Amino acid sequence: MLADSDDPEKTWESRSYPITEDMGLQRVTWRIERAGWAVLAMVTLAALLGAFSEGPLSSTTATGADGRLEVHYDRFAHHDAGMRMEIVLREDAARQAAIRLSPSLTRGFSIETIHPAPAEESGGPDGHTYVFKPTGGPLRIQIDLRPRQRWLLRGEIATADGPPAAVTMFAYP
Amino acid sequence: MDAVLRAGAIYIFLLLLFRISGRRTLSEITTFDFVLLLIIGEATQQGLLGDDFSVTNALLIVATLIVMDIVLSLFKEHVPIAGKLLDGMPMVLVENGQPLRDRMKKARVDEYDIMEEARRAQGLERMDQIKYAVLEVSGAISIVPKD
Repeated sequence: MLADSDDPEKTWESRSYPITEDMGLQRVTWRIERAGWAVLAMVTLAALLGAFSEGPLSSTTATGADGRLEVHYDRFAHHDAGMRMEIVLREDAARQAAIRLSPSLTRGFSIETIHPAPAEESGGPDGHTYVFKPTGGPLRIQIDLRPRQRWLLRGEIATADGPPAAVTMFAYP
Repeated sequence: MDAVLRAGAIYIFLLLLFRISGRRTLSEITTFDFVLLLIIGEATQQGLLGDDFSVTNALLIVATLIVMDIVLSLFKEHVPIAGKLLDGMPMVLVENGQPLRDRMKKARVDEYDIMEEARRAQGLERMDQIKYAVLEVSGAISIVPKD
């Protein structure tokens, strides 16, 4: 018995000697394997684009309704990994420069450092308030934080008396 | 709870990843593959442990991984098709001296691989001295010489 390697019918026939084959299932596993490669390639590409944090798909800006407050942050974060948020506050000199983080934010994240350091810090039922020394110009505040909860995190950042900017983040587990 | 979920997720992820990478890629280990395995171990370690470096956490993770392994082996025993899908199946690559090229291409094995194994294991010199070459589940190639 000579097998003709160029005959496709014969090539894909299941042999029963010297081993029992199941070529139908074998070809199914190859198809799954190839699909898996495609998925891996897509995941890698998505990661390069920032679908898992730090990239064009991830960085976003939330703005308060009156435009005085801007929050630059990553839409996609990782649970328990450090991340940075930048808040730009355009207050005139007469106003007190303060930001308030809503309770959902202070629950979902641990706030590690705030630069510049706030002059005053207080906690109340509507969240933590940080008061900064007035600079006479726009104030840039960097907050290093760490998501302590997984999946969807929502919160609000507001000035002392202005409308809040809504922040929505997805923390991968 | 966290330790069990972490270990379970990593176990399933690595199982699927190594399955789709194919048996020829990581079963025939070269030095570079070995280094790659070390790096993969290093990369998963942090995800497994989190920031909990206690002995209890380590024990829970090891226990979970071993329980997953036992459950999987029982599952494969009771559902044979799952075993075939997860472990793969042996396949004839050379039959009576004739290489089955389409199969070899799909399995990412070439004639050099087969002749290398034929020389090493059986001292054969030519393809027509091979009765059967079988790609085993482990990724190794078994050679049956002609009489």
